[in-house]
Amino acid sequence: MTVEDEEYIDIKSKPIYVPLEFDPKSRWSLLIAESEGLRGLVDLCNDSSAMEATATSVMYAGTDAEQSDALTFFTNDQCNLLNQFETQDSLLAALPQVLANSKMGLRLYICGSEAFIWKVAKIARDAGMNKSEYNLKLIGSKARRVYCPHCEIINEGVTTDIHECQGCNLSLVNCNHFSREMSAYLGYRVDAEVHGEMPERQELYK
Amino acid sequence: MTAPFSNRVKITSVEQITPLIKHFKFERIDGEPFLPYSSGSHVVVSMKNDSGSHKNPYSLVGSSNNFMQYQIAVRLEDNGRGGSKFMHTQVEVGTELEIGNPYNLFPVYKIARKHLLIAGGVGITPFMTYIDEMDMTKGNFELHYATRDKSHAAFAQNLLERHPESIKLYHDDHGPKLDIEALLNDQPLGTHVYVCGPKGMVDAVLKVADKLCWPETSIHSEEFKAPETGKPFTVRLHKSQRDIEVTEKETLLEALEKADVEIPYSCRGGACGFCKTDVVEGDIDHRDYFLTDEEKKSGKCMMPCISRVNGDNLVLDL
Repeated sequence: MTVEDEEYIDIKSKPIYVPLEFDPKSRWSLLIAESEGLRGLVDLCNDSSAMEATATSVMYAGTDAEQSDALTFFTNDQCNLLNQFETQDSLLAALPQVLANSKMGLRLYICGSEAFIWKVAKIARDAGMNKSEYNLKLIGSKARRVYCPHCEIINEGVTTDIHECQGCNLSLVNCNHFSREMSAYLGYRVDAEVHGEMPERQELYK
Repeated sequence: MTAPFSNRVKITSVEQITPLIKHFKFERIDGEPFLPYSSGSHVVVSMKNDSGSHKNPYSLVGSSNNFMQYQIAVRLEDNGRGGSKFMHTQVEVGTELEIGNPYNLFPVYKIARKHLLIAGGVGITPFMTYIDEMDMTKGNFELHYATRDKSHAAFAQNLLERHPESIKLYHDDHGPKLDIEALLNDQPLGTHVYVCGPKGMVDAVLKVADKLCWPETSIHSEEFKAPETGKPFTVRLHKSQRDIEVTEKETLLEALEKADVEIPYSCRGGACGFCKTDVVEGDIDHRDYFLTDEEKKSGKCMMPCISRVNGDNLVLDL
């Protein structure tokens, strides 16, 4: 199969993103973003006045300089919802405890790169939330996390259809099969049938 | 799938455990093990006596590890159609009965971080196997169990001894009452609620959970709805060109079975969907939980185990 063929195959596990909307059936909202994803949260709050009433906190991974307008939005005189983290990893490390202290009726709104939003979704699922309780919006990098079934590591930041696995050095083609459990796409050896036969690599997932 | 009645069983123990509930244990007559089953499963017990035949679903209450024995607990229903009365007055040690294979419409959701169990009266029965499972998996659970008074709280002593911290009893006659709203208001993220009991309790839990924004997928209920009586009517079978009378006390499914029309079934309470039957003509009085509102409106199908017809004109595609 060539990479182009994938366009014509309906892969059910490939994420499809719907516009982010406030869920009126919610008691509390936890807003989570990294980098430019913060703008998505501002838009969401501007679209729905009810959102602000339910929002408990905005967890943001990124620097002040990057998103100063959006940051001002969440840190005005009336309230300061912002809980800022220097890195994505520190946000992801703090989230499980936040969820463990939360009650039924909470909804998550998650904005950011594809890799980030699915890492957050995985933490939400591990906290017992189901997909109707969290909402994802992809803003920013589409770079993929790719799982290598040959050496069982996950490659971060893959932007091309074919890449060399950081674990076993095999050339992997990444396909649209997406694992919500691993928050990663599946890759597999591109020249498995005829060793050394390599299609040309293209940059697809910036 | 045809009617899953395959086990001839013999009663090995009968115990009156509350003023209204009897606890039955039975084993297969051929001495073979039963099928294993998952927590929350029920079986349909088939009874035959002079006044006709009954097929009633009952939750399994014994240990799911004991393959040689099944156990059920039956509440005597004064206004029932006779099945529970038969179990209470005609069944003793040595009585032979027929039972179906277990079927589960009320399973434990293993992804839940906490299981909140709410039982009313005989609604405790499906939770007996739940609590066995919680023991085995060290599951995080709470059971809130309401009965009219202490003497009516079946299995309560046993449960309290095993889980004094996780089980709360409520009695109508004294002490604090179960406050569903306060209970659901303060549950940790990842909780699933399961309710089994009288219609009023089930409806209240569903309503409060919805109001407090619990997602539908975290709310589970089981109400063994016994079929209600209705006006007698005649059903015409379109394909086989037969007319069958349905009496006041009979369900449509029972009347069809009596006339040797085989319809697959399991719960006989309008919940499982097995007996869904195509309708050619008729103004259906839908009483089930299974069909969607759209299906009910279309008038093209019905659940003969529990639903009837308005008026006297019903033609089924059988």
